[in-house]
Amino acid sequence: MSGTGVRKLWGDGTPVSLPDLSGLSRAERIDALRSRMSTMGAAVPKFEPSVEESAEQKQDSLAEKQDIVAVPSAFSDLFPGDGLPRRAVTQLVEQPLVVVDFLAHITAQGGHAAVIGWKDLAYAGVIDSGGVCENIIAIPNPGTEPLNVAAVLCEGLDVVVYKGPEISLSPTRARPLLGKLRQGTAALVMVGTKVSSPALSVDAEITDYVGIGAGSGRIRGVEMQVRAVSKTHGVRSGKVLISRPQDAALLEPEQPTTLRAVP
Amino acid sequence: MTRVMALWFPDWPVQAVHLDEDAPAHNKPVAIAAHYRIQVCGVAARKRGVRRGMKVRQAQAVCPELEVVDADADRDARMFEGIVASLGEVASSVEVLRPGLVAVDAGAAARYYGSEDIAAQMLIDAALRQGIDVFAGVADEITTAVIAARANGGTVVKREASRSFLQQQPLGVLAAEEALGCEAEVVRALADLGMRTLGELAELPVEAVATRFGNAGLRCHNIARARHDRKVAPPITHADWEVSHVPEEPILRVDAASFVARNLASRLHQLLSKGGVVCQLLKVTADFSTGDTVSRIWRTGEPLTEQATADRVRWQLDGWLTARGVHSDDPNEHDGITALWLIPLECVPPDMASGGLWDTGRSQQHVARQVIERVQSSLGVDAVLQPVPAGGRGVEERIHFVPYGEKRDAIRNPAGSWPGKIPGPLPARLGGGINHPASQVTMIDTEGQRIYVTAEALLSSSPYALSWGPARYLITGWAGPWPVDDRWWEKNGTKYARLQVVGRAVSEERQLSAWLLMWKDNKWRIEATY
Repeated sequence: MSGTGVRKLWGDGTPVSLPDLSGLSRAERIDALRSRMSTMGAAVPKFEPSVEESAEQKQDSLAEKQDIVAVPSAFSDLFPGDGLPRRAVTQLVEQPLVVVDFLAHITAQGGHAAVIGWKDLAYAGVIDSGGVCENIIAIPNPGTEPLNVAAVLCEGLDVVVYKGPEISLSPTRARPLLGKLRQGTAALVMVGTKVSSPALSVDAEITDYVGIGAGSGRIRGVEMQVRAVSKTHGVRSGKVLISRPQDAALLEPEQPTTLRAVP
Repeated sequence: MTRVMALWFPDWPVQAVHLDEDAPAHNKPVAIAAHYRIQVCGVAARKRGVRRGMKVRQAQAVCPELEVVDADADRDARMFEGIVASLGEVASSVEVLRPGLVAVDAGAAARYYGSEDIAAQMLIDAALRQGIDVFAGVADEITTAVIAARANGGTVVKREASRSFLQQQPLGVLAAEEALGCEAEVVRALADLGMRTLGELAELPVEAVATRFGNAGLRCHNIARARHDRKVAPPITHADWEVSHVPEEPILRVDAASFVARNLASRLHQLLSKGGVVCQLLKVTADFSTGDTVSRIWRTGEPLTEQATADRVRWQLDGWLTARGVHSDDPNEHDGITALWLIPLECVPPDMASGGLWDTGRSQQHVARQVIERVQSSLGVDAVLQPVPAGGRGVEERIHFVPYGEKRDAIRNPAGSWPGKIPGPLPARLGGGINHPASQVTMIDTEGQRIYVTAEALLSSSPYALSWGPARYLITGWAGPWPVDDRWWEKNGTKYARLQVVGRAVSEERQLSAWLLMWKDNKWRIEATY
């Protein structure tokens, strides 16, 4: 519990009046509060850089890099540490396209993944986007104790996607799973079933299908509004386009072509 | 990416004769003969009309001053040893393919000396002797480097340019170089079929070559396609790692054999770990009291552990004892194992990436396999599946599942051309299946008429709205239909068509959705959802 400061009470028991911080930016506010904490004698923890300090954030140490599972570049800007946190829970809204995109990227880089309890997930997209199917295992029917299956797999894989009923796990039920997760290597992505205070929680809503018209073109990309909430980095959101690399040129906004006189 | 340099000493037996002489005269015509035929001839002899395969008397008639020397494999190897030793002083990994041809790991040498050019120059300098010819070829694979050394007096093939280099090379080179391991008969058959270059051979589909010419054909095909992935192996100098066991009485029982196997495996691994190597190729040999010897070679994709070695030896002994019908309850019959050897044939330094001296924090293949097998043991083998690509046009049919750890052949060729295939990005959620009642939808046009696919594979009208159960959507975009006439030559062949549809819900959320629909049996169904 390092860094947990206990607020000191001044003699008569009245709490210290805090200065008005509302006019300051987030970084300045954190600095002011930290300096106050240090004068109060509390150990100031080394916080990770805040959202505004994105330039410094790029220089993540190697150790930190190993603590994440890399995700496609479109998503990595939104996630703390540029990926899914290992040994922690990521809560993901039920958006199979995102999962397939993650699986393709992770397995293409040699990672191992498991998908538990997701019967209607189509893996054809994983191969289509360059993923490696040999590194994926699917357990559509995980038996009576699906959480135990997830816990075992978390010990040795890179990513475990768990899809369960729409319930919130009580802390008692989640504890064995989280204990195994902390000792393993995997990033656990939970879809449907919720745990209290996940390390990262990702919401994705489809906003547009790109490339298709009334009887023309075809679906070349899916545009999503992604919102990532993490304990350390607050809320980040942005637009993400899921498409195949070979379609990237077609999805560029059309430039007006200029005609040139040919002699 | 590996880089390999091949150094080729043309007509090496002749050059070895020159090296062996005290005062060699290099322009004297020399030929090596075996069984009264010319096996190899030098440049001077060739200029005077001597050719390989000639009868010695014929050659002597063409060139009376020809000096004919008997073939001597020992001399070739002995003379070559000196050259290999001087190459070994320059580069760390030198592999002798045959006397007169070596492969050197040029990538490692280039990293050490700074550049490939400097490394190549150092190697050629090291190999040079007075009056000795040497040609060098550099490429990504051993086989391509060997061919490059023989082409135009030595060639450097750029990175990833092996295919385009090989395209122009004559087919005959496969048979000319014995170290490539191609059968001359197969090469001749290919030439008889009208193939002139390796490029023409590479264009043939691999199945066609494999079914007609078997392994020998595949070998040629792999070389032509530059698919040979073996790397230059540094020699393991100390190779005396075999262990043996001679029991006092012949081993008759499997459990006794497995006890011996475990003991031998542990001794072997102690020896290997002292030498700092791991074994990838293991030979198990057993002598039986009847006097015959049987042996079996085990190769594994990853280094053998002590446990894995013990297992393999045990399986092997078990198999032999069972196959020979050895039973312990018949003491008069003494056909037991009288001696047992374990011989590690191929030892390599342990790979840093596998095994791992440092914990990289990521999952490793063997750990992944362990946990998956644990799940498999609790849920059953058939519950843990692996998606395998299959050929097909839709979404569901492009994947089939096999139990983890099983290898099955692809049911349809995923790399084949599938006209009418749905292009990516593919939908990621499958519908309930074509026959599922919940996957049925209705589409109408602005007049309220139902949309169908005409016999010309066109939509009957422009879609306007879609209903799926209680939900209603206004269609904002559609593409297709992609018609498929599947198995038209069979009775159960069907015709169907696929359509991409994007719709916005007519509800308060106004949510956007897209589907891949299938038109079959006069109904629209949802095949998958984007």
